[in-house]
Amino acid sequence: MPTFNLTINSKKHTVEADMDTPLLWVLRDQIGLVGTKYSCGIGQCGACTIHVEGNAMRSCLLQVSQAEGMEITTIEGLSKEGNHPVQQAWKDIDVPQCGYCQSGQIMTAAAFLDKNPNPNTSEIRNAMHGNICRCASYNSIEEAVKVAADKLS
Amino acid sequence: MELSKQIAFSRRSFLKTSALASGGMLIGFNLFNACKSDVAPPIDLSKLNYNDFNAYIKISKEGKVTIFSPNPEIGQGVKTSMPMIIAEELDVLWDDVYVVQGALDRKNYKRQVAGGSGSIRSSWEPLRQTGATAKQMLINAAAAKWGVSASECSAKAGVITNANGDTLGYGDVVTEAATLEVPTDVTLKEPKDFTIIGKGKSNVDIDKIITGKPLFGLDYKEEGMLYASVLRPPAFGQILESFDDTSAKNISGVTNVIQFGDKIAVLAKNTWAAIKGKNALKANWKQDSEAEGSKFHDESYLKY
Repeated sequence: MPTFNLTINSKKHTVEADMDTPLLWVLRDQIGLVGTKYSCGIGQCGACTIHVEGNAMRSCLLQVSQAEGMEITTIEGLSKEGNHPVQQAWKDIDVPQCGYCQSGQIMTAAAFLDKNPNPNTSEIRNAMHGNICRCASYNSIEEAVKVAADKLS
Repeated sequence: MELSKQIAFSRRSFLKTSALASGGMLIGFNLFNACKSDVAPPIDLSKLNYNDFNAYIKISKEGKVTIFSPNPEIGQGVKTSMPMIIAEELDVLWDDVYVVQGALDRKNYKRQVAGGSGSIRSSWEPLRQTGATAKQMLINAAAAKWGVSASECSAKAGVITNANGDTLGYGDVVTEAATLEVPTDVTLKEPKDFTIIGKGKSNVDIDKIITGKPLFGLDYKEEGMLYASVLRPPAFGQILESFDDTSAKNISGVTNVIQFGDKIAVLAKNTWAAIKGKNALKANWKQDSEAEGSKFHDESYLKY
């Protein structure tokens, strides 16, 4: 089985995995970072969103072989104390219901606000629309992204 | 009508069984973190002096309160709201409460399901009774200690006060209280006196959720465990006729293929191998009965 050298949350990891293994399963099963969630497995729901070189990406579609040499950030590495402005905003608004999709929501929002710190409502909706929430916490998500934008600016 | 009778019956038996229920399996929390669920259990559990009141509440000698939320949390908020109801009648500060998901225990909890918007409706009164009963037992224990009548004592925010103005914390009397007879005629609060119910409280799991800590079934891990992926009939009304697992078993990491009912589970050393194994199964399905579709559902629901 091939070996891969990964940099996840600024830490180096060497893992053995089949070439086609989605990074999602390397993160969850092998490295033990279970904050990144599995839901659809086909890039349609956003629950597995991580940052690759600062861009929001679906870890269920990214093969481990493609992740070598990339700076990978998961929800566990977004901030040291869980106090990234987006995480704080999520707490202020009390966004999560069941919570399952929320790490993906937070990762999408954080990458988006990094590029567009002063978004309008339609930009927020456009950025977040690929992250599905079965509890339908969408209004709270939108509000929290606005709160996070205020914190960032 | 039928429903209220049922509640009355289960409340009586529930109070008796719950007061007798002993701990052990329910232990594992931290004394110093209130209102959070993301705390690792203390290393030396034997040092904890928790006393069981019942299957819902534990109070430590330090006065910290652990409330077990019995129902499945599926985004409807019961892991937060059910403990709020108990905390209200127990009369403790919400910030002193630590919430733990109750284990499956139908004997003590009765209704451990989520559905039909029934959790609060059916548990509202039993949960209030639970909190109020525990509070009364603490008051009774304090009254006995002081040698006064319990009716001269009152409790608020985890502190019991008598007519002379003497005070005892819940933790000071919890050991004695746990041995007392369970009162059956406690008075519930008037809604106008509520300090927790009706006030917005954050999801008790908020910190775990926003930092990606293990919380869900899929996050559970046991040393040496296998992972499974299950192939199910593509439609209701279909049954499994035969299947070929040759290619599935050839996938590296797959350890076993097991049929159960009309389903086939692929077991593997990691999730990806299990998923690939499932995708490699060749199953033949047979239509056994009329396919269940939306028309059937519409017709069924119209009957109600």
